[in-house]
Amino acid sequence: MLELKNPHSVLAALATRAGDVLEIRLGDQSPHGAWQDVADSARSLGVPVRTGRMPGGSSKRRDASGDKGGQGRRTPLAVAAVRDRSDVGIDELFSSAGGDEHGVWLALDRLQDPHNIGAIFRTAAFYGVRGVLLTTNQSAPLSQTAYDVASGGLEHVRFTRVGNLARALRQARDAGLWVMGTSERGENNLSETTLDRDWLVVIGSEERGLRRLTMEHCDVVCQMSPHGEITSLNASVAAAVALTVLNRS
Amino acid sequence: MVGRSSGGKSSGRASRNRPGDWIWGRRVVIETLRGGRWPIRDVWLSERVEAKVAEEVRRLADGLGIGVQQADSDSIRARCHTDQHQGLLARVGEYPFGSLEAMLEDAGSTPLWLLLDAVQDPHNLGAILRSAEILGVDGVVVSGDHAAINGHVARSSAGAVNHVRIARSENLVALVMRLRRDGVAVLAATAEESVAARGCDLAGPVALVVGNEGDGVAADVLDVCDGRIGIEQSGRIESLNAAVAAAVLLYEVDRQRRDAEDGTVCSN
Repeated sequence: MLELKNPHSVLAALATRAGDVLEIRLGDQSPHGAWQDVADSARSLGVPVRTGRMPGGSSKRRDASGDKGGQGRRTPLAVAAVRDRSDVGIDELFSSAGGDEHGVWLALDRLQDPHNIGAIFRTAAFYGVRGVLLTTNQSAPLSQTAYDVASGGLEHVRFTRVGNLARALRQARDAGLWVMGTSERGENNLSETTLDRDWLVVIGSEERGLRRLTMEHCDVVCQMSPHGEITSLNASVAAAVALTVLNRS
Repeated sequence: MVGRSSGGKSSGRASRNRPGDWIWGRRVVIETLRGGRWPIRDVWLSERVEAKVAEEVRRLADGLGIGVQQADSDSIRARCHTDQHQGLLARVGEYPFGSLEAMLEDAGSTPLWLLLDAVQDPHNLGAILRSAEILGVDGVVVSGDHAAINGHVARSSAGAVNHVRIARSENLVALVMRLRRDGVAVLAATAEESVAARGCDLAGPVALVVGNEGDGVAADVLDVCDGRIGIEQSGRIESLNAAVAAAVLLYEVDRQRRDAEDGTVCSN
């Protein structure tokens, strides 16, 4: 169960799976802006909308889900109780591969920061990514923070969580996708990537990048940062740059 | 509102552990010690830091005349409110913004400036600074009601707060007009009514303006910019996160400058 605090993530959930939105709780002030839209939409869909003082306890629990605090400390204006979205099977994730229109998929290899995961889903939805693979081990969960940072993106992109990424990448290749790793040690220039195929872009973890085994399952490994600095781009930024380049057709 | 810098009144005695008073994490603390930009008052080190790193920290701190004290992980955590400190914590003074004048004067013939209009999320600000460093921005200007540069920003910037030039402007409208007089194309990142970045000539002197997460670039700033620049959407969501949008646009500037391709002049 999620307690979403970003009205845009709630609006997307209402639009795509209203049956999973259990309740909207508004504060004791009348809602405005996007929360007013949430209330209107929920009422028209028969989702319960309650008003009254917000319980203060819910914001403390965010630390356990990896929210780093330092932002959003205010008592939320409103929250929505929403069921977690379900995964699709891996075969279904890749089912649209090989069509006339080429697509892009993403794989997130042990990302630790729910902000990065959320930001990546938002970008993925912006670019119409066909699906996202996520690892389950040593990875941030799809928490409230991820949903709210995604600002609706988690409702529009299908995803599959897997224990064994190497095996999933093999399945992707069997389905006809080409696998692109992104690493500062990459030997190819991202902006010279050929667009005539279905790509699965693998984004490595914030601290350690791509694992060796993951790298071995890539058809190409591209460099994101053209200047070859020691530092590399933030994971969500790297994903966005890769998606922008692959979307340039 | 995300915490604004509370001004320069810090006396060295952090009675309340405001986020701005602490930085943490191995890379951030060591780079801040090395960088010599952001004054550090003292350093806290836990036993979980490996000997080689601890030695490096002591050596750097010694050179700066900064005290290092041993602390357990719990007392470090109690100050930075996160488990991501890796056993290293430092108490810092107020972040020293650079001089805007000096930054503008030092520009080469084709500068790339990034102007941030009230970016309020520390994660966004940090990620933007990190991208700015890697993608060759000559200087970042923060303006309006922006996030304070604190431990969260330092952490998500991966240490870039110590490298990229950062200045503050009290009047973004005046700065935009001045840059335009100096021959810089000032382009506001907007989702609406914008020209796709790939259709813009970004190889000359450019300043990108990135706005507040909720409200975008303020109307009075938009009015004085040369044009609006955007990113072509192909999916279901209409806008990108501010840090992502900034990076994608900076990448495009960088790509055009590397390729030195022809383009159409961007104005509207």
